[in-house]
Amino acid sequence: MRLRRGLSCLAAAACLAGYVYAYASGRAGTPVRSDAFSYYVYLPSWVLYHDPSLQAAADDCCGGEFPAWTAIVRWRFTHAWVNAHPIGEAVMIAPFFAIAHALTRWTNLSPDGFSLYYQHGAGLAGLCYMLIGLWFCGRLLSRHFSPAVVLATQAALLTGTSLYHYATFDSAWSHAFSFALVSGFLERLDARRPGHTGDDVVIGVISGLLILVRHTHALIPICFLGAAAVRTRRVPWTAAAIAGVVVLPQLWLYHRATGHWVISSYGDLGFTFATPHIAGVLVSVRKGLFFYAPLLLLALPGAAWVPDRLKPWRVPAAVLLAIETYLIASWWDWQFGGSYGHRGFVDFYPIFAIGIAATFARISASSRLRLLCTVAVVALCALSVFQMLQYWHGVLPMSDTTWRQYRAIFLKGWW
Amino acid sequence: MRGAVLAVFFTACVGVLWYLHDPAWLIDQTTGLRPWHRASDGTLSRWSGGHASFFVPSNLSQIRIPVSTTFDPREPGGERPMLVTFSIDDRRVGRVLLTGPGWQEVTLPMPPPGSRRVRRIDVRTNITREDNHGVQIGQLCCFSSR
Repeated sequence: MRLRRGLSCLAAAACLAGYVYAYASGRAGTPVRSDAFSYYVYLPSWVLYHDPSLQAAADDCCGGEFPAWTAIVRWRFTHAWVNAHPIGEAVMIAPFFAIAHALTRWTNLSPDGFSLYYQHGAGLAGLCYMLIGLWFCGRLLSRHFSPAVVLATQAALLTGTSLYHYATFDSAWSHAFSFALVSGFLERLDARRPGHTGDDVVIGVISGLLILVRHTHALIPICFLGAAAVRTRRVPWTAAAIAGVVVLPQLWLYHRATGHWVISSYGDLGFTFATPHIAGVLVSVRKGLFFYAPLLLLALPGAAWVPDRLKPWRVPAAVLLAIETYLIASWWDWQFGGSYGHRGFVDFYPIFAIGIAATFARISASSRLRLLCTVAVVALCALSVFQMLQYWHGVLPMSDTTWRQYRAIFLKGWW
Repeated sequence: MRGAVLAVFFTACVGVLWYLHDPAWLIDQTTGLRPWHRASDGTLSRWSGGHASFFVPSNLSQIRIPVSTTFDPREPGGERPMLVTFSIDDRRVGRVLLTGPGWQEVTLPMPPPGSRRVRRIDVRTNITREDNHGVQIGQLCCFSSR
Protein backbone atom coordinates (compact mmCIF):
# COMPACT_ATOMS: atom_id res chain seq x y z
CA MET A 1 0.00 0.00 0.00
CA ARG A 2 2.81 2.36 0.98
CA LEU A 3 4.71 1.36 -2.17
CA ARG A 4 1.66 2.09 -4.32
CA ARG A 5 1.18 5.46 -2.71
CA GLY A 6 4.87 6.19 -3.24
CA LEU A 7 4.62 5.33 -6.93
CA SER A 8 1.48 7.45 -7.29
CA CYS A 9 3.32 10.44 -5.79
CA LEU A 10 6.35 9.77 -8.00
CA ALA A 11 4.15 9.47 -11.11
CA ALA A 12 2.34 12.69 -10.22
CA ALA A 13 5.64 14.53 -9.66
CA ALA A 14 7.13 13.15 -12.89
CA CYS A 15 4.04 14.12 -14.90
CA LEU A 16 3.92 17.59 -13.37
CA ALA A 17 7.63 18.06 -14.15
CA GLY A 18 7.05 16.99 -17.77
CA TYR A 19 4.03 19.28 -18.02
CA VAL A 20 5.95 22.28 -16.68
CA TYR A 21 8.87 21.54 -19.01
CA ALA A 22 6.62 21.20 -22.07
CA TYR A 23 4.92 24.56 -21.47
CA ALA A 24 7.69 26.56 -19.77
CA SER A 25 10.08 25.72 -22.61
CA GLY A 26 7.49 26.80 -25.18
CA ARG A 27 7.61 23.37 -26.88
CA ALA A 28 3.91 22.71 -26.59
CA GLY A 29 2.22 26.06 -27.32
CA THR A 30 -0.95 26.24 -25.24
CA PRO A 31 -2.81 23.19 -23.86
CA VAL A 32 -6.09 23.97 -25.68
CA ARG A 33 -4.98 23.65 -29.27
CA SER A 34 -5.85 21.61 -32.36
CA ASP A 35 -8.37 18.82 -31.48
CA ALA A 36 -8.36 19.89 -27.85
CA PHE A 37 -10.03 23.17 -28.88
CA SER A 38 -13.16 21.50 -30.19
CA TYR A 39 -13.36 19.09 -27.25
CA TYR A 40 -13.13 22.04 -24.88
CA VAL A 41 -15.06 24.85 -26.63
CA TYR A 42 -18.38 23.73 -25.13
CA LEU A 43 -17.32 25.06 -21.72
CA PRO A 44 -16.83 28.74 -22.65
CA SER A 45 -19.93 28.53 -24.81
CA TRP A 46 -22.16 27.03 -22.10
CA VAL A 47 -20.75 28.61 -18.95
CA LEU A 48 -19.62 32.06 -20.11
CA TYR A 49 -22.10 32.79 -22.90
CA HIS A 50 -24.99 30.49 -21.88
CA ASP A 51 -25.20 29.42 -25.49
CA PRO A 52 -25.48 25.72 -26.43
CA SER A 53 -25.25 26.56 -30.16
CA LEU A 54 -21.52 27.52 -29.95
CA GLN A 55 -22.25 30.70 -31.96
CA ALA A 56 -21.31 33.07 -29.12
CA ALA A 57 -17.97 31.30 -28.71
CA ALA A 58 -17.39 31.59 -32.47
CA ASP A 59 -18.25 35.29 -32.31
CA ASP A 60 -15.77 35.93 -29.54
CA CYS A 61 -12.82 33.81 -30.62
CA CYS A 62 -13.09 33.92 -34.36
CA GLY A 63 -15.24 36.75 -35.68
CA GLY A 64 -18.32 34.54 -36.01
CA GLU A 65 -16.85 31.62 -37.99
CA PHE A 66 -14.80 28.76 -36.56
CA PRO A 67 -11.67 28.12 -38.64
CA ALA A 68 -11.65 24.86 -40.65
CA TRP A 69 -8.98 23.22 -38.46
CA THR A 70 -11.38 23.17 -35.50
CA ALA A 71 -13.55 20.48 -37.16
CA ILE A 72 -16.61 22.48 -36.10
CA VAL A 73 -18.71 22.88 -39.22
CA ARG A 74 -22.03 24.42 -40.17
CA TRP A 75 -24.71 21.76 -40.78
CA ARG A 76 -25.66 21.97 -44.43
CA PHE A 77 -29.43 22.37 -43.98
CA THR A 78 -29.75 24.35 -40.74
CA HIS A 79 -26.54 26.41 -40.82
CA ALA A 80 -26.09 25.56 -37.11
CA TRP A 81 -22.69 24.59 -35.72
CA VAL A 82 -21.95 20.86 -35.38
CA ASN A 83 -18.82 19.89 -33.49
CA ALA A 84 -17.03 16.75 -34.67
CA HIS A 85 -15.97 16.13 -31.09
CA PRO A 86 -18.59 15.34 -28.46
CA ILE A 87 -19.14 16.90 -25.05
CA GLY A 88 -17.67 14.28 -22.69
CA GLU A 89 -14.25 15.81 -22.21
CA ALA A 90 -15.78 19.24 -21.54
CA VAL A 91 -18.06 17.68 -18.92
CA MET A 92 -15.04 16.10 -17.23
CA ILE A 93 -13.03 19.35 -17.34
CA ALA A 94 -15.93 21.35 -15.87
CA PRO A 95 -14.71 21.34 -12.21
CA PHE A 96 -11.27 22.55 -13.34
CA PHE A 97 -12.94 25.18 -15.52
CA ALA A 98 -14.92 26.48 -12.54
CA ILE A 99 -11.73 26.95 -10.50
CA ALA A 100 -9.97 28.54 -13.49
CA HIS A 101 -12.87 30.93 -14.00
CA ALA A 102 -12.89 32.03 -10.36
CA LEU A 103 -9.11 32.60 -10.45
CA THR A 104 -9.41 34.45 -13.76
CA ARG A 105 -11.89 36.87 -12.22
CA TRP A 106 -9.69 37.23 -9.15
CA THR A 107 -6.56 38.09 -11.19
CA ASN A 108 -8.53 40.12 -13.79
CA LEU A 109 -7.34 38.04 -16.73
CA SER A 110 -9.62 37.98 -19.76
CA PRO A 111 -12.70 35.86 -18.83
CA ASP A 112 -13.02 34.48 -22.36
CA GLY A 113 -12.40 30.80 -21.67
CA PHE A 114 -8.99 30.76 -23.34
CA SER A 115 -6.70 32.89 -21.16
CA LEU A 116 -3.94 31.52 -18.94
CA TYR A 117 -5.86 29.79 -16.13
CA TYR A 118 -8.46 28.24 -18.42
CA GLN A 119 -5.70 26.84 -20.63
CA HIS A 120 -3.86 25.21 -17.77
CA GLY A 121 -7.08 24.21 -16.03
CA ALA A 122 -7.82 22.07 -19.10
CA GLY A 123 -4.22 20.86 -19.39
CA LEU A 124 -3.97 19.89 -15.73
CA ALA A 125 -7.38 18.23 -15.92
CA GLY A 126 -5.94 15.78 -18.46
CA LEU A 127 -2.93 15.17 -16.26
CA CYS A 128 -5.11 14.53 -13.19
CA TYR A 129 -7.45 12.18 -15.07
CA MET A 130 -4.48 10.19 -16.36
CA LEU A 131 -3.25 9.80 -12.78
CA ILE A 132 -6.74 8.78 -11.70
CA GLY A 133 -6.74 6.22 -14.52
CA LEU A 134 -3.38 4.89 -13.39
CA TRP A 135 -4.73 4.65 -9.85
CA PHE A 136 -7.82 2.71 -10.98
CA CYS A 137 -5.56 0.50 -13.08
CA GLY A 138 -3.43 -0.26 -10.00
CA ARG A 139 -6.53 -0.94 -7.92
CA LEU A 140 -7.82 -3.42 -10.49
CA LEU A 141 -4.48 -5.19 -10.89
CA SER A 142 -3.83 -5.37 -7.16
CA ARG A 143 -6.83 -7.69 -6.76
CA HIS A 144 -5.15 -10.26 -8.99
CA PHE A 145 -1.39 -9.69 -8.89
CA SER A 146 1.36 -9.09 -6.33
CA PRO A 147 2.24 -5.49 -5.36
CA ALA A 148 5.58 -5.74 -7.20
CA VAL A 149 3.89 -6.83 -10.42
CA VAL A 150 1.30 -4.04 -10.12
CA LEU A 151 3.99 -1.41 -9.59
CA ALA A 152 6.11 -2.71 -12.47
CA THR A 153 3.07 -2.68 -14.77
CA GLN A 154 2.08 0.86 -13.83
CA ALA A 155 5.64 2.16 -14.23
CA ALA A 156 6.07 0.35 -17.56
CA LEU A 157 2.75 1.62 -18.87
CA LEU A 158 3.58 5.22 -17.94
CA THR A 159 7.10 5.33 -19.34
CA GLY A 160 7.17 2.56 -21.95
CA THR A 161 4.18 3.81 -23.95
CA SER A 162 2.85 7.19 -25.07
CA LEU A 163 0.80 7.52 -21.87
CA TYR A 164 3.26 10.01 -20.34
CA HIS A 165 3.08 12.13 -23.49
CA TYR A 166 -0.73 12.26 -23.33
CA ALA A 167 -0.56 13.20 -19.63
CA THR A 168 1.75 16.13 -20.26
CA PHE A 169 2.46 17.48 -23.75
CA ASP A 170 -0.97 16.68 -25.19
CA SER A 171 -2.90 16.37 -21.94
CA ALA A 172 -5.95 18.30 -23.15
CA TRP A 173 -6.53 15.77 -25.95
CA SER A 174 -9.26 13.23 -25.19
CA HIS A 175 -6.95 10.28 -24.54
CA ALA A 176 -6.09 10.93 -20.89
CA PHE A 177 -9.82 11.26 -20.18
CA SER A 178 -10.69 8.04 -22.03
CA PHE A 179 -7.81 6.23 -20.33
CA ALA A 180 -9.23 7.21 -16.92
CA LEU A 181 -12.74 6.14 -17.89
CA VAL A 182 -11.67 2.78 -19.34
CA SER A 183 -9.57 2.11 -16.22
CA GLY A 184 -12.46 3.10 -13.99
CA PHE A 185 -14.92 1.02 -16.00
CA LEU A 186 -12.79 -2.13 -15.81
CA GLU A 187 -12.03 -1.65 -12.12
CA ARG A 188 -15.68 -1.13 -11.22
CA LEU A 189 -16.74 -4.04 -13.43
CA ASP A 190 -14.23 -6.27 -11.65
CA ALA A 191 -15.54 -5.11 -8.27
CA ARG A 192 -19.20 -5.40 -9.30
CA ARG A 193 -21.38 -7.36 -6.89
CA PRO A 194 -24.41 -9.12 -8.38
CA GLY A 195 -27.66 -7.50 -7.33
CA HIS A 196 -26.09 -4.25 -6.08
CA THR A 197 -27.84 -1.43 -7.93
CA GLY A 198 -25.23 1.13 -6.81
CA ASP A 199 -22.50 -0.75 -8.69
CA ASP A 200 -24.59 -0.76 -11.85
CA VAL A 201 -25.32 2.96 -11.51
CA VAL A 202 -21.60 3.78 -11.31
CA ILE A 203 -20.86 1.50 -14.28
CA GLY A 204 -23.71 3.15 -16.18
CA VAL A 205 -22.37 6.65 -15.50
CA ILE A 206 -18.85 5.68 -16.60
CA SER A 207 -20.26 3.97 -19.71
CA GLY A 208 -22.23 7.10 -20.57
CA LEU A 209 -19.16 9.30 -20.14
CA LEU A 210 -17.15 6.92 -22.34
CA ILE A 211 -19.70 7.39 -25.11
CA LEU A 212 -19.71 11.15 -24.54
CA VAL A 213 -15.93 11.37 -24.91
CA ARG A 214 -15.80 9.25 -28.07
CA HIS A 215 -18.91 7.68 -29.56
CA THR A 216 -17.15 4.53 -30.77
CA HIS A 217 -16.31 3.81 -27.11
CA ALA A 218 -19.88 2.53 -26.83
CA LEU A 219 -18.22 -0.72 -27.90
CA ILE A 220 -16.43 -0.97 -24.53
CA PRO A 221 -19.54 -1.41 -22.35
CA ILE A 222 -21.27 -3.32 -25.13
CA CYS A 223 -18.46 -5.91 -25.33
CA PHE A 224 -17.75 -6.29 -21.60
CA LEU A 225 -21.29 -5.93 -20.22
CA GLY A 226 -22.62 -7.94 -23.16
CA ALA A 227 -20.24 -10.80 -22.37
CA ALA A 228 -21.24 -10.63 -18.70
CA ALA A 229 -24.92 -10.68 -19.67
CA VAL A 230 -24.41 -13.74 -21.87
CA ARG A 231 -22.49 -15.51 -19.11
CA THR A 232 -24.92 -14.73 -16.30
CA ARG A 233 -28.06 -14.55 -18.47
CA ARG A 234 -28.91 -11.22 -16.81
CA VAL A 235 -29.11 -8.07 -18.88
CA PRO A 236 -27.67 -5.03 -16.98
CA TRP A 237 -30.72 -2.85 -17.58
CA THR A 238 -29.84 -0.38 -14.82
CA ALA A 239 -26.37 0.34 -16.22
CA ALA A 240 -27.79 0.62 -19.75
CA ALA A 241 -30.56 3.01 -18.64
CA ILE A 242 -28.16 5.23 -16.68
CA ALA A 243 -25.74 5.32 -19.63
CA GLY A 244 -28.65 6.33 -21.86
CA VAL A 245 -29.57 9.19 -19.53
CA VAL A 246 -25.95 10.41 -19.42
CA VAL A 247 -25.79 10.43 -23.24
CA LEU A 248 -29.09 12.36 -23.64
CA PRO A 249 -27.60 15.91 -23.56
CA GLN A 250 -25.38 15.03 -26.52
CA LEU A 251 -28.36 13.71 -28.50
CA TRP A 252 -30.31 16.86 -27.61
CA LEU A 253 -27.45 19.01 -28.95
CA TYR A 254 -27.38 17.03 -32.20
CA HIS A 255 -31.15 17.32 -32.55
CA ARG A 256 -31.08 21.04 -31.78
CA ALA A 257 -28.45 21.69 -34.46
CA THR A 258 -29.57 19.29 -37.18
CA GLY A 259 -33.09 18.03 -36.48
CA HIS A 260 -31.68 14.49 -36.13
CA TRP A 261 -30.94 12.61 -32.92
CA VAL A 262 -28.05 10.64 -34.40
CA ILE A 263 -25.68 12.11 -36.96
CA SER A 264 -22.17 11.66 -38.33
CA SER A 265 -20.56 14.67 -36.68
CA TYR A 266 -17.49 14.43 -38.89
CA GLY A 267 -19.59 15.37 -41.94
CA ASP A 268 -17.97 14.19 -45.14
CA LEU A 269 -14.91 12.79 -43.38
CA GLY A 270 -15.30 9.11 -42.64
CA PHE A 271 -14.12 5.54 -42.87
CA THR A 272 -12.49 3.66 -45.75
CA PHE A 273 -13.69 0.22 -44.65
CA ALA A 274 -12.56 -1.48 -47.87
CA THR A 275 -8.93 -0.44 -47.44
CA PRO A 276 -7.99 -0.54 -43.75
CA HIS A 277 -4.35 0.19 -42.85
CA ILE A 278 -4.05 -2.62 -40.30
CA ALA A 279 -0.26 -2.97 -40.60
CA GLY A 280 0.04 0.81 -40.70
CA VAL A 281 -1.64 1.32 -37.32
CA LEU A 282 -0.04 -1.70 -35.64
CA VAL A 283 3.55 -2.07 -36.79
CA SER A 284 4.53 0.60 -39.30
CA VAL A 285 7.27 3.15 -38.78
CA ARG A 286 4.74 5.85 -39.70
CA LYS A 287 2.52 5.40 -36.66
CA GLY A 288 2.56 1.74 -35.59
CA LEU A 289 1.31 1.07 -32.07
CA PHE A 290 3.82 -1.71 -31.40
CA PHE A 291 6.60 0.05 -33.29
CA TYR A 292 6.58 3.03 -30.91
CA ALA A 293 5.48 1.08 -27.82
CA PRO A 294 6.92 -2.45 -28.27
CA LEU A 295 6.42 -3.03 -24.56
CA LEU A 296 2.72 -3.54 -25.28
CA LEU A 297 3.63 -6.79 -27.09
CA LEU A 298 4.08 -8.29 -23.61
CA ALA A 299 0.31 -8.15 -23.27
CA LEU A 300 -0.16 -10.74 -26.02
CA PRO A 301 1.33 -13.79 -24.24
CA GLY A 302 -0.14 -12.38 -21.03
CA ALA A 303 -3.61 -12.98 -22.43
CA ALA A 304 -2.97 -16.71 -22.01
CA TRP A 305 -1.77 -16.29 -18.42
CA VAL A 306 -4.39 -13.99 -16.91
CA PRO A 307 -5.80 -15.16 -13.55
CA ASP A 308 -8.92 -17.32 -13.65
CA ARG A 309 -11.21 -14.52 -12.45
CA LEU A 310 -10.21 -12.33 -15.40
CA LYS A 311 -10.39 -15.09 -18.02
CA PRO A 312 -14.02 -14.24 -18.94
CA TRP A 313 -12.70 -10.85 -20.13
CA ARG A 314 -10.44 -12.35 -22.78
CA VAL A 315 -13.10 -12.79 -25.45
CA PRO A 316 -14.74 -9.33 -25.06
CA ALA A 317 -11.30 -7.70 -24.88
CA ALA A 318 -10.14 -9.49 -28.04
CA VAL A 319 -13.38 -8.64 -29.89
CA LEU A 320 -13.19 -5.01 -28.75
CA LEU A 321 -9.54 -4.56 -29.74
CA ALA A 322 -10.14 -6.25 -33.10
CA ILE A 323 -13.09 -4.00 -33.93
CA GLU A 324 -11.36 -0.85 -32.66
CA THR A 325 -8.21 -1.70 -34.63
CA TYR A 326 -10.32 -2.13 -37.76
CA LEU A 327 -12.12 1.17 -37.12
CA ILE A 328 -8.89 3.08 -36.43
CA ALA A 329 -7.20 1.51 -39.47
CA SER A 330 -10.19 2.44 -41.62
CA TRP A 331 -10.35 6.09 -40.58
CA TRP A 332 -9.58 8.38 -43.52
CA ASP A 333 -6.61 9.79 -41.58
CA TRP A 334 -5.47 6.49 -40.08
CA GLN A 335 -2.42 8.17 -38.49
CA PHE A 336 -4.79 10.43 -36.50
CA GLY A 337 -2.77 13.50 -37.51
CA GLY A 338 0.25 14.62 -35.54
CA SER A 339 0.89 12.42 -32.52
CA TYR A 340 3.56 10.50 -30.65
CA GLY A 341 2.88 6.82 -31.36
CA HIS A 342 -0.65 5.91 -32.41
CA ARG A 343 -2.91 7.91 -30.13
CA GLY A 344 -6.02 5.98 -31.11
CA PHE A 345 -4.96 3.09 -28.86
CA VAL A 346 -4.05 5.08 -25.71
CA ASP A 347 -7.65 4.73 -24.53
CA PHE A 348 -7.24 0.94 -24.41
CA TYR A 349 -3.97 0.79 -22.48
CA PRO A 350 -5.80 -0.41 -19.31
CA ILE A 351 -6.75 -3.58 -21.24
CA PHE A 352 -3.12 -4.05 -22.30
CA ALA A 353 -2.08 -3.48 -18.67
CA ILE A 354 -3.84 -6.67 -17.57
CA GLY A 355 -1.91 -8.71 -20.16
CA ILE A 356 1.38 -7.03 -19.27
CA ALA A 357 0.82 -7.74 -15.57
CA ALA A 358 0.04 -11.40 -16.35
CA THR A 359 3.30 -11.69 -18.31
CA PHE A 360 5.27 -10.01 -15.51
CA ALA A 361 3.70 -12.37 -12.96
CA ARG A 362 4.58 -15.42 -15.07
CA ILE A 363 8.13 -14.27 -15.73
CA SER A 364 8.79 -13.35 -12.10
CA ALA A 365 8.67 -17.05 -11.20
CA SER A 366 12.09 -17.56 -12.79
CA SER A 367 14.93 -15.37 -11.50
CA ARG A 368 16.90 -15.59 -14.77
CA LEU A 369 13.88 -14.66 -16.88
CA ARG A 370 13.03 -11.90 -14.42
CA LEU A 371 16.47 -10.33 -14.80
CA LEU A 372 16.31 -10.59 -18.59
CA CYS A 373 12.82 -9.11 -18.67
CA THR A 374 13.76 -6.27 -16.30
CA VAL A 375 16.71 -5.28 -18.50
CA ALA A 376 14.58 -5.43 -21.66
CA VAL A 377 11.66 -3.49 -20.14
CA VAL A 378 13.93 -0.78 -18.71
CA ALA A 379 15.64 -0.43 -22.10
CA LEU A 380 12.28 -0.19 -23.92
CA CYS A 381 11.01 2.39 -21.42
CA ALA A 382 14.19 4.45 -21.84
CA LEU A 383 13.84 4.26 -25.63
CA SER A 384 10.20 5.31 -25.46
CA VAL A 385 10.96 8.33 -23.23
CA PHE A 386 13.89 9.30 -25.46
CA GLN A 387 11.77 9.11 -28.62
CA MET A 388 9.03 11.08 -26.91
CA LEU A 389 11.55 13.84 -26.12
CA GLN A 390 12.69 13.68 -29.76
CA TYR A 391 9.06 14.28 -30.73
CA TRP A 392 8.77 17.19 -28.30
CA HIS A 393 11.88 18.80 -29.77
CA GLY A 394 10.84 18.32 -33.38
CA VAL A 395 13.42 15.62 -34.19
CA LEU A 396 10.81 12.88 -34.66
CA PRO A 397 8.25 14.00 -37.26
CA MET A 398 4.65 14.52 -36.18
CA SER A 399 3.39 12.08 -38.85
CA ASP A 400 4.35 10.35 -42.10
CA THR A 401 7.71 9.22 -40.71
CA THR A 402 9.65 7.14 -43.24
CA TRP A 403 12.01 4.27 -42.46
CA ARG A 404 14.91 6.33 -43.83
CA GLN A 405 13.99 9.27 -41.56
CA TYR A 406 13.65 6.98 -38.56
CA ARG A 407 17.07 5.38 -39.15
CA ALA A 408 18.64 8.82 -39.58
CA ILE A 409 17.28 10.11 -36.26
CA PHE A 410 17.48 6.89 -34.21
CA LEU A 411 19.00 7.85 -30.82
CA LYS A 412 19.91 11.25 -32.24
CA GLY A 413 19.92 13.99 -29.62
CA TRP A 414 18.10 17.32 -29.92
CA TRP A 415 20.59 19.43 -28.02
CA MET B 1 -0.83 17.01 13.37
CA ARG B 2 -3.75 17.09 10.95
CA GLY B 3 -4.77 20.51 12.32
CA ALA B 4 -1.27 21.87 11.69
CA VAL B 5 -1.25 20.53 8.13
CA LEU B 6 -4.65 22.11 7.49
CA ALA B 7 -3.47 25.41 8.96
CA VAL B 8 -0.38 25.42 6.72
CA PHE B 9 -2.51 24.51 3.68
CA PHE B 10 -5.04 27.25 4.46
CA THR B 11 -2.30 29.84 5.00
CA ALA B 12 -0.61 28.83 1.75
CA CYS B 13 -3.92 29.15 -0.14
CA VAL B 14 -4.54 32.62 1.29
CA GLY B 15 -0.96 33.62 0.42
CA VAL B 16 -1.30 32.37 -3.16
CA LEU B 17 -4.63 34.15 -3.60
CA TRP B 18 -3.20 37.39 -2.19
CA TYR B 19 -0.28 37.11 -4.64
CA LEU B 20 -2.53 36.31 -7.61
CA HIS B 21 -4.72 39.35 -7.03
CA ASP B 22 -2.14 41.68 -8.59
CA PRO B 23 0.92 39.74 -9.79
CA ALA B 24 3.79 41.62 -11.43
CA TRP B 25 3.86 39.28 -14.46
CA LEU B 26 0.36 40.27 -15.52
CA ILE B 27 1.70 43.20 -17.57
CA ASP B 28 3.31 40.67 -19.96
CA GLN B 29 0.19 38.51 -20.39
CA THR B 30 -1.65 38.57 -23.70
CA THR B 31 -4.28 36.38 -25.31
CA GLY B 32 -5.32 36.17 -28.93
CA LEU B 33 -2.28 38.05 -30.21
CA ARG B 34 0.26 36.68 -32.68
CA PRO B 35 3.99 37.53 -32.47
CA TRP B 36 5.27 41.00 -33.33
CA HIS B 37 6.25 41.56 -36.96
CA ARG B 38 7.85 44.48 -38.75
CA ALA B 39 6.37 45.74 -42.03
CA SER B 40 8.55 46.93 -44.93
CA ASP B 41 8.02 50.56 -43.78
CA GLY B 42 9.36 49.66 -40.35
CA THR B 43 5.98 49.64 -38.57
CA LEU B 44 5.82 47.17 -35.71
CA SER B 45 2.48 45.42 -35.16
CA ARG B 46 0.87 42.18 -34.12
CA TRP B 47 -2.26 40.51 -35.46
CA SER B 48 -5.21 39.78 -33.22
CA GLY B 49 -7.76 37.03 -33.66
CA GLY B 50 -11.45 37.74 -33.12
CA HIS B 51 -10.64 38.67 -29.54
CA ALA B 52 -7.35 39.77 -28.04
CA SER B 53 -6.39 41.14 -24.66
CA PHE B 54 -3.33 42.74 -23.14
CA PHE B 55 -2.45 44.83 -20.09
CA VAL B 56 -1.28 48.40 -19.59
CA PRO B 57 -0.12 50.19 -16.43
CA SER B 58 -3.08 51.55 -14.47
CA ASN B 59 -1.47 54.92 -13.80
CA LEU B 60 -1.94 56.10 -17.42
CA SER B 61 -4.44 58.84 -18.22
CA GLN B 62 -5.07 57.71 -21.80
CA ILE B 63 -3.70 55.37 -24.45
CA ARG B 64 -3.67 55.63 -28.21
CA ILE B 65 -3.94 52.35 -30.15
CA PRO B 66 -3.20 52.22 -33.91
CA VAL B 67 -5.23 49.54 -35.71
CA SER B 68 -5.62 48.40 -39.31
CA THR B 69 -6.75 45.38 -41.25
CA THR B 70 -6.61 44.03 -44.78
CA PHE B 71 -9.13 44.65 -47.54
CA ASP B 72 -8.54 41.95 -50.10
CA PRO B 73 -11.15 41.55 -52.87
CA ARG B 74 -9.79 38.07 -53.71
CA GLU B 75 -10.79 36.75 -50.29
CA PRO B 76 -14.52 35.92 -49.81
CA GLY B 77 -15.92 38.79 -47.75
CA GLY B 78 -12.44 40.28 -47.66
CA GLU B 79 -13.70 43.80 -48.36
CA ARG B 80 -16.32 43.93 -45.62
CA PRO B 81 -15.82 46.79 -43.14
CA MET B 82 -14.65 45.62 -39.73
CA LEU B 83 -16.02 46.95 -36.45
CA VAL B 84 -13.41 46.96 -33.69
CA THR B 85 -14.56 47.31 -30.08
CA PHE B 86 -12.28 48.24 -27.18
CA SER B 87 -12.97 47.69 -23.52
CA ILE B 88 -11.04 48.35 -20.33
CA ASP B 89 -11.63 45.86 -17.53
CA ASP B 90 -14.81 44.65 -19.29
CA ARG B 91 -16.24 48.19 -19.69
CA ARG B 92 -16.67 49.27 -23.31
CA VAL B 93 -14.73 52.48 -23.98
CA GLY B 94 -14.38 52.81 -27.74
CA ARG B 95 -15.34 51.58 -31.18
CA VAL B 96 -13.97 52.14 -34.64
CA LEU B 97 -15.21 51.00 -38.05
CA LEU B 98 -12.38 50.11 -40.42
CA THR B 99 -13.45 50.69 -44.01
CA GLY B 100 -10.07 50.89 -45.71
CA PRO B 101 -6.59 49.42 -45.37
CA GLY B 102 -4.94 52.45 -43.69
CA TRP B 103 -4.05 52.80 -40.02
CA GLN B 104 -6.57 54.39 -37.65
CA GLU B 105 -5.70 55.56 -34.16
CA VAL B 106 -8.14 55.12 -31.33
CA THR B 107 -7.69 57.10 -28.13
CA LEU B 108 -9.03 55.47 -25.00
CA PRO B 109 -9.45 57.45 -21.78
CA MET B 110 -8.24 55.43 -18.81
CA PRO B 111 -10.24 55.30 -15.59
CA PRO B 112 -8.53 56.46 -12.39
CA PRO B 113 -6.04 53.94 -10.99
CA GLY B 114 -7.68 51.31 -8.82
CA SER B 115 -6.21 48.75 -6.48
CA ARG B 116 -4.23 46.99 -9.22
CA ARG B 117 -1.00 47.85 -11.02
CA VAL B 118 -2.46 47.07 -14.45
CA ARG B 119 -5.66 47.33 -16.44
CA ARG B 120 -6.85 44.89 -19.07
CA ILE B 121 -7.60 46.08 -22.60
CA ASP B 122 -9.80 43.79 -24.72
CA VAL B 123 -10.01 44.24 -28.49
CA ARG B 124 -12.85 42.47 -30.31
CA THR B 125 -13.69 42.43 -34.01
CA ASN B 126 -17.12 41.61 -35.43
CA ILE B 127 -15.59 39.57 -38.28
CA THR B 128 -12.21 38.07 -39.05
CA ARG B 129 -10.25 37.74 -42.24
CA GLU B 130 -8.71 34.51 -43.56
CA ASP B 131 -7.04 32.27 -40.95
CA ASN B 132 -8.81 34.11 -38.13
CA HIS B 133 -6.94 37.40 -38.57
CA GLY B 134 -8.67 40.34 -36.86
CA VAL B 135 -6.79 43.62 -36.69
CA GLN B 136 -3.14 44.58 -36.68
CA ILE B 137 -2.42 46.38 -33.44
CA GLY B 138 0.52 48.76 -33.61
CA GLN B 139 2.68 50.09 -30.80
CA LEU B 140 0.68 51.88 -28.14
CA CYS B 141 1.14 55.54 -27.25
CA CYS B 142 0.71 55.97 -23.53
CA PHE B 143 -0.01 59.26 -21.76
CA SER B 144 0.57 59.68 -18.08
CA SER B 145 -0.53 63.05 -16.72
CA ARG B 146 -1.40 61.76 -13.26
